Amino acid sequence: MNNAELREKLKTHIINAVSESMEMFFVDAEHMGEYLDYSEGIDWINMDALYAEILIFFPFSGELRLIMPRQLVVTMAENVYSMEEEPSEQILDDLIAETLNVIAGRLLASMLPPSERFKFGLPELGEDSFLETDAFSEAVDFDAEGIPLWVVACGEGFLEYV
Amino acid sequence: MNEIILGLGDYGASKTPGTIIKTYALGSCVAVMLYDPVIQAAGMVHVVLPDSSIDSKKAQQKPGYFADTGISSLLALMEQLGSSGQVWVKLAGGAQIADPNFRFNVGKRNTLAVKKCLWALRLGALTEDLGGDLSRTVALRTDDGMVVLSNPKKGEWMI
Repeated sequence: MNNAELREKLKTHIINAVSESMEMFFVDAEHMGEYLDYSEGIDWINMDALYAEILIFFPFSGELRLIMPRQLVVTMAENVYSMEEEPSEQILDDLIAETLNVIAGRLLASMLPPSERFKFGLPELGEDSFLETDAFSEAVDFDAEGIPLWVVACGEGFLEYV
Repeated sequence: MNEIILGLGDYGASKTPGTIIKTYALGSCVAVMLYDPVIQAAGMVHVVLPDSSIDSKKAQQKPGYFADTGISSLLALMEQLGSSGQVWVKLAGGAQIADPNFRFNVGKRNTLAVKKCLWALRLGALTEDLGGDLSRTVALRTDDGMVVLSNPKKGEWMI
């Protein structure tokens, strides 16, 4: 399989993992095909986004990032907790961290052989948690009922193990 | 045998023994079915779209059309029949038939909207037959709450 085919395969795993994970929060997230590219250089942060990152330790070193507009995390909190008042910052932080945790688990479980064990760290929050790296990365954008979100897989190991 | 036929956005309920509540050829629509085993009452709503906020006038005229207004209307109807509040929930439909590329997947959105409404009401499905790409005709029995599904190619099965 060449590099482009490996990237496409990884992308499919990411799309499935995100779509299934977002169903937990009663949100339909569909990959719409680069309708809004993720780029760390662009000031898209104006949209008031929340950031989470999780490190993968085994069987390869990598990093998975989740970027969601606050509005989407609020919607997810309202759906899950049936809240009428604005959810607290703590709830929003917990929610995006748990979302990434679930996505990471589903992604690794689907891309690795069933017998393969994997290990990842605890989700960290905030833009500052993102590692600066020149390593391979695959960013996948989603439309969650009109709101964009991104998942970024960083590290050559993703291509090696997919 | 009594038969109550529901069309798009209709809802209905009965506790008359031997009654079947039926809706034909569910595609992306979702049938939400409630059954109260205490009073042997059954109810069904044929949900067409996820959220009533897109058309409040339509929601008033035909509340069953939307997941949020449809489920609350059906619960109210079950209450009128004397429901004990201890209801089973069964779900069917939510197929992706028109668009094989899964863009604007109304079936999935209907399913998620229905589950979200049920979750907010502290209800969850006892059993479900959702998704895929087949249309389903659904018949709910008041006698025992069993649901018979059918499709021209797949035949009949029960949930």
